[in-house]
Amino acid sequence: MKEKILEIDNLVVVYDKVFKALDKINLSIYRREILGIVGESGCGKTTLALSLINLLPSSAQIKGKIYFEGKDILSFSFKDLNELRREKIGFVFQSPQDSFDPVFTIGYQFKEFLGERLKRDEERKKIIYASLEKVKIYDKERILKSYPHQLSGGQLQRLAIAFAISLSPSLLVADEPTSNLDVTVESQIVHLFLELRDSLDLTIIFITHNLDLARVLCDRIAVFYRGKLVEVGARERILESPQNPYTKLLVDSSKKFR
Amino acid sequence: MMLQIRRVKKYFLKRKKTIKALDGIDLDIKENHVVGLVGESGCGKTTLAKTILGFYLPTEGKILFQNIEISNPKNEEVIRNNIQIVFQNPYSSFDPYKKIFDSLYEAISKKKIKKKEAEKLFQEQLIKVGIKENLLFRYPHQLSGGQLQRLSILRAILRGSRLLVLDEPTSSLDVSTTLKILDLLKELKERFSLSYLFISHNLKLVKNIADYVAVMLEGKIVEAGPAESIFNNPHHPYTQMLLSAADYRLKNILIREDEEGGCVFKNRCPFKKEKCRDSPPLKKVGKEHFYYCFQ
Repeated sequence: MKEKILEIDNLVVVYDKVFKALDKINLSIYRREILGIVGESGCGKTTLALSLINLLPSSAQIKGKIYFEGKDILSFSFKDLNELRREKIGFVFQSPQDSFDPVFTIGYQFKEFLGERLKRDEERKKIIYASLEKVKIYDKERILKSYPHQLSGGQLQRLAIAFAISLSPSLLVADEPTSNLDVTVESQIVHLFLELRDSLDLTIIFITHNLDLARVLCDRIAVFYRGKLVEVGARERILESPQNPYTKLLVDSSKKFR
Repeated sequence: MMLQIRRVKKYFLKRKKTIKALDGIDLDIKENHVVGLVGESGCGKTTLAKTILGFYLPTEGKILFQNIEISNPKNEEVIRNNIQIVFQNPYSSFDPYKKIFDSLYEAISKKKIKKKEAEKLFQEQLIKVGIKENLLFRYPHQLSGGQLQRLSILRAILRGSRLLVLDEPTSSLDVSTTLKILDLLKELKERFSLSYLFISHNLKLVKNIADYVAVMLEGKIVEAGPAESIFNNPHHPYTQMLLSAADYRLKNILIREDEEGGCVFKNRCPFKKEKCRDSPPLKKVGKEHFYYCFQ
């Protein structure tokens, strides 16, 4: 039996007391797997991702439990949460342009990100350079001196991944990290995720609406529809013999593009 | 021939540096034909769209619509009556303070139709773009991305346009909605015998809808031909790279130091040779399929 890294137990998220964004979700994630979370816009994918690091807005009411490495993160104190967010769970958002502060250089932001944990400059530098290497950014000096607007979307998304993996988290959550990128860049980022899983022993939760991408990347796929988890299973089972009518529809529409 | 683009160049000056956004584009769009234009971000796709619509004046070259030179500002009216554009993000292409009815009414304001009649007309038209509810008196934020994109398409055909420029019309929509919008576009094309310039970086979409495909890179068309021929028999290494990326087979791109001049793909090309510093020659595959490469 594989080791569970994350267990979601009966999770319910309600916005503004009326809108049920997630409805009784039960889902486990095992160490070193890539779990794809698939569904159309508004199905609750991002709400799920944000609840994993307890980052939902205050208008959201959360019920249920989320166990990360055995501890319920919904009962964490502010300090524990901060540590969890920075060191245990890495997060990559959809729009790389919005993930960085436009008025500071990348190098400054990276140092600040590591700052609370590492006081000594040399230590920080070592980690920054190693992380950049891992995401295949080679002209490090230039990139660190640049401001976000001087870099391309692909470079920024690589940097966002570098930030996320810099303190060697055990779980990486990526929320549609490639949907704002070009096909050529997207393909490279997808392979980067695959390589990082192997080289860093990462567990990855990859949120996407693109089933073709999930086919290449994910070991297991969970399909969401209107806040409910409608089907979850191994990649082949979901893609070759979907049981739920909504999954069937999704698989069919992605086939029409081939 | 509906639209003829001849040797069009568009240069921008940025900090004393010339940026060649379009560098000698030749492209024809036939009646009732869909031309797919593919390429990565920053290759000049959107600049070409804007030049066709007269938002930019070309630095050199000309654009003819049914033999009228529309790159001449005097003929702007010809553009407005015949060519319309659908943008990528439907939320930013509608005025958030206006109800849908008013946005649509603005498009036909020159026709001097009374508001009451216009309402009736729009209600009939809504069905044509597959909207069953009466959304005319709602605001854009109350609608879904798919509904708004249908409305942008409706607004584009209201004035009886012949050519639609579709600039990544589905890239902010999800898969099932994208498919429905593509079906709608195909249906409208047959019904009103429209032509499309379909701009996208997604080759699968283009394969689904286009009759003819042009691949663009750094302001130049590097390969073009009938869709079938391009997808089954790509010749330019850049087209081959794009196709492998579409199936997520592309792992890494080698990038060499920037060198100006010559072939636009040479800094990333796996087959680079010395002679690539010169402009590559035009080569033909079949009647309409051509590419620029030494290979």
